[in-house]
Amino acid sequence: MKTVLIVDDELDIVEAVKAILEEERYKVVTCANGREALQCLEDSKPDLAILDIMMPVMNGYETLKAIRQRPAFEKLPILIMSAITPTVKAKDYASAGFLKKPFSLRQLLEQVHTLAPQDPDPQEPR
Amino acid sequence: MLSQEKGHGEKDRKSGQERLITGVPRLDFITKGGLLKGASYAILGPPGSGKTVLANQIAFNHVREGGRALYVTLLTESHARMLANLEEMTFFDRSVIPDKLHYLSGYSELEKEGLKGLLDMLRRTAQRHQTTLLILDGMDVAKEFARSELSFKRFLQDLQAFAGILGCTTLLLCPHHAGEHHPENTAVDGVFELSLWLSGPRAVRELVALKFRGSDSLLGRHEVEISAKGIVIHPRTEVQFSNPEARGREDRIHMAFGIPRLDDSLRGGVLSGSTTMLLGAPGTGKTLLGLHFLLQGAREGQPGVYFGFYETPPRLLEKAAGVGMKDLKKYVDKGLIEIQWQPPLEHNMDSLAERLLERLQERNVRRIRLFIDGLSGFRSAAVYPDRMGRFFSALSHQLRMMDATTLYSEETPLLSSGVEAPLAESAAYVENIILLRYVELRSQLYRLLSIMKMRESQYDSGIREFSITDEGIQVAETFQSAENILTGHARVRSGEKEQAVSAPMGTPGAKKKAKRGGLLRRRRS
Repeated sequence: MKTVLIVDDELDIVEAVKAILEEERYKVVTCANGREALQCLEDSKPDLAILDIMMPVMNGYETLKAIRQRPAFEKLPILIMSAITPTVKAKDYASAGFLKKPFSLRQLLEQVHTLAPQDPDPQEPR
Repeated sequence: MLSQEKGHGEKDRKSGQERLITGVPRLDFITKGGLLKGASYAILGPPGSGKTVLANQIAFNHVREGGRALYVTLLTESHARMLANLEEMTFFDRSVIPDKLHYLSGYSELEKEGLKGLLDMLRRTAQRHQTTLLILDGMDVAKEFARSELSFKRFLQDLQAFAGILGCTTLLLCPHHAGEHHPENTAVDGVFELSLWLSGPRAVRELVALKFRGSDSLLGRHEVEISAKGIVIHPRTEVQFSNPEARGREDRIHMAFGIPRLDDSLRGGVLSGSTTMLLGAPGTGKTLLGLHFLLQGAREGQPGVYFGFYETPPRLLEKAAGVGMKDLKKYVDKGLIEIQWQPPLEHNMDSLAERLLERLQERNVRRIRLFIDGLSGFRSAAVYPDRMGRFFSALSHQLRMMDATTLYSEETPLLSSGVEAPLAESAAYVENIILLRYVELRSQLYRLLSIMKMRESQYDSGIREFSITDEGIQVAETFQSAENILTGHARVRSGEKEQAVSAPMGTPGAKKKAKRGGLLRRRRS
């Protein structure tokens, strides 16, 4: 089962995305800001991080930069999720994709399935 | 339907937002294109006001157009009873249940796990079912399980965020009683309140559009009917046409009544596209004058519509035939004149206007003549009498834009010496006023006709006597007889004997006198 880390201060969005991804058989870890995300990164070892830009304590750009400075997470796929289109800075930090709020279920799942494809379900008939 | 309602899921051209077309007659007109896809709406109302019918009607229409709906009840009536009540409605279609329209009870989750459990169940089911319309019926019960108003708002916010991502429009149904506060009203994108109250002996249903975020809409109170078709909304006529076009047709012509002296006084007739009020006491001849107008139009090849409340079509044709308008039936049979009789039921004023305007739009003909026989028919259908002025002004303007030349008959009191129109502001919204009245003199009743007002055209303001004869309405050649009647005696000119006032026109006495006068003239010659 793949793990997705969601970092966003908007709790209703976090809860909604969490519910959707859990239904898609992802393990979901949630954090309300960048600092919390850096703290739980080592423990959760996510396969994908979904990161908001406008957050208190540590914003999305700072969080992205800090994640990239950790050798273990240099290649971690990071999906930026924000109401504002990211500036060139986000691309510099090698984000894997961008999801503009408000987004649809299809847009969310397309990005997540591409960046963190699930292993085939062993119980599902082939 | 006058409003331009679009197909399901169509994009709003202005805002680019996708819409969920409800298919509920005129609800999409009120919201100027439908509910916003992914948005949430509260539907409030006392028991029996039609919340469940409205929500189900939207759901059935939605799935018919390819959507998927989930209807979740919370301790409301059982699904079996709800469906049994809906079965008689024309929108009901059992074949879409449960695949496209799914009914669930959320109460056990709510009881076991509280609002969080309900939210989890809703999320899970809606995602699996690929729901595009979610209806939660019984929000009052959900509220009971909230620890505080804040936690209830949090539940709503979480639900809305999820539904927004799913692109799922949400309807939250909640009973409402006067003065009650609903925390969901601040959180949702729109609020519609259904009401049911008594206006005298009459039950009045209304829909009040209180809030509609993200788009222009016709907020306010609109009357509602529940029939086998489900809910039908009748938007207030004056807000439907609140931005009317400024100009009608420019090539206007005079439309005659086919009554020689009256047409002369009107310089050929009333102007096309104008509205004329026929004002007079009961029995003065307003209906016959209006029928003359339609008949003359038909003779000239112009279509006409009679829109009346009191006389049935056979009775009307019989009445017309009795006064020399036998060919009215011929034109009715041909379809050139249409009789739109409104049976004496409890009408809704805006529904009457819709019926009339829709019919004219369906006929889509130029130079149509319209006779609305009895403004009081509209007045008796009014729940809010203070709307009448604005209502008629909007209706008249819309008729003008449709190139209809309209005559309204309006009654004045039977026993009154003055002239009082029941609707004082009427003079402002009609272009022309023709007054018909009785004058009682020396035990005789005389009929007098005068043009009180004629905008944009010259006219004779003199008062003329008229009569209703076997050959229709006859108007006196001169003003003399009317003058004699109004002064009570003939004017005495020098060297002439005082004359007695003649018997009313068309009566045996007047005919005898006319005959004698003719003999005398012949002898003199």
